[in-house]
Order: sequence, then structure tokens, then C-alpha cells
Amino acid sequence: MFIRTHLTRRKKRHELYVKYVLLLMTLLIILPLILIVFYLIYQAAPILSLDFLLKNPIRGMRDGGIWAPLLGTIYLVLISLLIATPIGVFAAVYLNEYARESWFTRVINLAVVNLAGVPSIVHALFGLGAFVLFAGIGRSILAASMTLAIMTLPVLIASTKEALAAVPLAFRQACWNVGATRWQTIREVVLPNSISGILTGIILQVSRAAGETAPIMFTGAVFYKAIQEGDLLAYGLLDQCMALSMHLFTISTQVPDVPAALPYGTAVVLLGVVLLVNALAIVLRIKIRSRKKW
Amino acid sequence: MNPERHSIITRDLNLWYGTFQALQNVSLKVVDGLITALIGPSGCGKTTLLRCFNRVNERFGNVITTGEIRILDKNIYDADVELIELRKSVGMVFQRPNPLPISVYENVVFGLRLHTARAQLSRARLDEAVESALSDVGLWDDLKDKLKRRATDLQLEQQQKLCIARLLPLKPEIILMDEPCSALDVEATRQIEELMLDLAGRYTIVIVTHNMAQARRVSHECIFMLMGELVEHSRTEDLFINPADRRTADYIEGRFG
Repeated sequence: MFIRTHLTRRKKRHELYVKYVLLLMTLLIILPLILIVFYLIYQAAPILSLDFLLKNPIRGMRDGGIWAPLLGTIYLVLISLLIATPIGVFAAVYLNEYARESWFTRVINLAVVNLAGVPSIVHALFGLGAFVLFAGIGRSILAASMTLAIMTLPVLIASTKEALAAVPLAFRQACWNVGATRWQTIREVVLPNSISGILTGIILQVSRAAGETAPIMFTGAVFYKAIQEGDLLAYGLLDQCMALSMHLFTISTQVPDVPAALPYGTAVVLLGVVLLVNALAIVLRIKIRSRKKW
Repeated sequence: MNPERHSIITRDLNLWYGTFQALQNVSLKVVDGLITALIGPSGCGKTTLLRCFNRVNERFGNVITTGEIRILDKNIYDADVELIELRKSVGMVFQRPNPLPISVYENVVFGLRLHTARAQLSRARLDEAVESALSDVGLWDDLKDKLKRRATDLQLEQQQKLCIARLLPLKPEIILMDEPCSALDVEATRQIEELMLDLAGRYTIVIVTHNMAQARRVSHECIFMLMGELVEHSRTEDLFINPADRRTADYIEGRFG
């Protein structure tokens, strides 16, 4: 009774194999990330300084800092989110709270899922055709931001819908049964209890918008454009701009004799911006989650 | 309480979820001010029937209803019936207490805030509503110093009482309870049952319960349902001691269900 047999021994051995294989795979994910970060910082170390952030590139982009592309990226990201957030959040609220299951909503949901899978270069061409040429906005920060917004929208809608759906049905029922309208239910109960998830979804789009090169290449980003150093309002909406991702591409492949530290420094800043924003999302999430208990 | 008056009357009520018929020709009269229990095995349609009374079924989509439901002598499928007003008068309490994740105070006045223009909501009026509602459910003494606490942190039975208290400021006529004690322990169940007997008379209460002993303890009238049909409706003593229908007898004696 209750004694180990060769069958249980085999099962236990399998149990062990599986556990270690899974652990190995997990380590394989983290390892490259750590290596990349350390390698980048190691290579970029000689050039990293405050001046690097606050000075324009000089001498044909072979020297100087990354002020113009850094500010350009900030503009593109902020404006694209300003455009995408209200549209995405309200669309998600409609789809999750108002729309009934019908062929119409099924088509929309399908479209959202598929749009999320469209390659960014296709978004770039769409942006070029629709905003730059057809709408006549021209190559500009506005057109590039709109293109980025279109690109981030599907994922934004999906993440917002998920956050809304996570609000327990019991809360909604509590509202319906004291005669709350749908909008009252959303305003008083659904949104306050899903805001952390919604914000996280929005913030995570920052890193996508900051990292993409293709969509802005045709629609508003340029190789080189010097702007007033230290002036946060140096770009206008209809100006073209530099951007970190594009700048990195340019100095790594298009300009000869660039000192090695320069592209690495740019990459570190780009990664830093993304990680900083992600960290912000995590902190926000923890902070809001600690307040809610259900 | 007036035994001649009926708070809820249905006539030939049929309901389909898609192609599945959940209610078949249900005709009943619920006497004003009494506690009426709906009993029957799982899937017999008692919860569905309960949800018809404030038309909250419709929120779940793909529901077709035919027949007539009169609440307080008004057909609730009339075109001029405003669902919001109907649900104010016909409140509902659920299996699991569902306080909102806000303070006790805000939970109680939640309905008032939804239905009253902001200008008419003085602090004094809200305070009064909270005290009176919490007193009615026997929570005032326990919670009067804890009104700012999150309602979701309360004990389960306090949460359930709070969910009942939340309905009262809207001055409902009818309170629907969907197995209100099934998540509670024995002592909490006893308290909720006492509370129901307390509230009877002032409100008409319809309770769905799986627990036949509970139906017996707490209800004045009892309705036995089976496969979407109303089998028997009579005074609770009669139904349990002298069931008229063979199927009722089999069920209360535990031969199925």
C-alpha cells in the first residue's frame, strides 16, 4: 500500500524533466533581454551625458547629441496618443457595453483583430495615401501621428475592452437593479473600476509608437532637421521632425564613419524611454490595484 | 397588507432564451405585502421568472417574452413603461452579495444619487436616508461609525443586508430575492430570514430558494415550479402538508431534485 512503483517513479521523473525544460525556456527569454541591455549600455557608455540628450546632431550626424530626434519622438508619441485614446476608449466602451451580439459587431470585432495584425509598413502606405496626399496635410508631425494612431488603435481597443470586461457582472447588476441607465452604470461603476487596466493599455502603446520606424518614414519623419536646443515647443504640428527610431536607422546604415558609440547611445535612449514608460505603467497598475479589492 | 390586492399578476407568461423555452404559460398572482417563495429543482425557471418582474432578463439578449405581467396593476410591457422607473419600484437582491466597491454610505445612497437632481440632494437628506435604510435592515448600530468603510470589506452577511438597504431609499414596492442566503452561513441566514419577516408587510417580497426548509420558515405563500411550468401555488403550510399535485409531493419529499 502506498509504496512507490516503477510507474510512479517514471511519472515523477517526467514531472522533473518538464519542470526544468519549462524553467530553461523561461530563462531563455530573460537572458537575451539582459544581454542586450548591458551590451548597449557598455557600448554607449563613453557618449552618454546630459549634453547628448540636449544637443542637436552635428557634423553630418557624426557628432553631437540627439535633441531633435528625442523631441520629435516625444511629439509623435504624445500626439498620436491624444488622437488614438479618445477614439479607442470610446469605441471599446461602445463595443463592450452597448453593442449587442450581431453580425455588425462581429464584423467590427473581426476587423479590430485583423487590423492589429496589419504590418506597420502597410499602415505607412495608408498614412501616406490618406493623410499626406489625399487629405493634403503633407508630410508632417500631424500626418505621422495620425498614422501612428491608426496603427495603435486596434490594440488600444482590444486592451480597453479587456479591462472593461474584467469588471464583474455583479457590479453591473447592482446598478441595473436600482434603475441605473447604461451610461450611469459606465460612469459610476465600470470606468472607475477599469481605469487602471485602460491606462496600462494606453501606456503600453507608447512603447510601440516610439519604436516604429516604417509608419513615420513616409509620413513625417526626416533624416535631418536642426531645431532650437532646449526649446520644448521647437516643432510645429505641420513641421516635419526627426525621430529616435528613424535616427538610429539613419546613423547605423546611411551615414558613413559614424563613431560606434553614437548609434548605441541613441538605442539606449530609445530603450530607456520605452522602459521608463513601461515602468510607469507598472507603478500605476500597482498603485490603483492596491486601492481596489473585489 | 390587503389580501385582495395583488402586487404581481402574470397571465400566460412564456419566455424563450433563443429556442429554449424557459417559462411555459405561467399565470400567477402574488399577494401584496406577503413573502412568496419560488421553489423547484435547478433549471425549473424560478430565477428566470423572478427576473421577468423587473425586466432585467432583457439585458442578457436574445430573450423573447409573450404574455402579460402586471406589476401594481400596470402592464410592464406597455409602451409607456420606463424601465428605470420600474426597476426603482422592483428591487433585486442576489445570491452573492454585490455591494459596489465604494463606501457603505455611498452604497446606500447610490440609487438616490442616480434618480435625484443634484440640487435636491442635501447632505441632511442623504444622511437621513442612510440612517433610515441601515436601521431598517438592522445595520445602523454596527455600522454608524464605519460609514466610510469600503462596503466590500464588510462581513458577507453585512454585505447582504447592505444590498437590501441599498434598495430602500428608492421606496420600492417589491423586493425580489434570488437565493439571498446561499452564500451565507447558518447564523447569517437566520438573520436575513428575520430581516425578511421584518420587512414583509411594508414590501412585497418574492424569494427564490433551493432550500425548502427556508421556504417553509420564511414564506407565507409558496410556488412550486417544474420545467418552466407553475405546478402549484398555495399557502406555504398547505403546500408542504397537503400538496395538491403529485409532482409537488414528490419534490418536497425529496424523491427528485
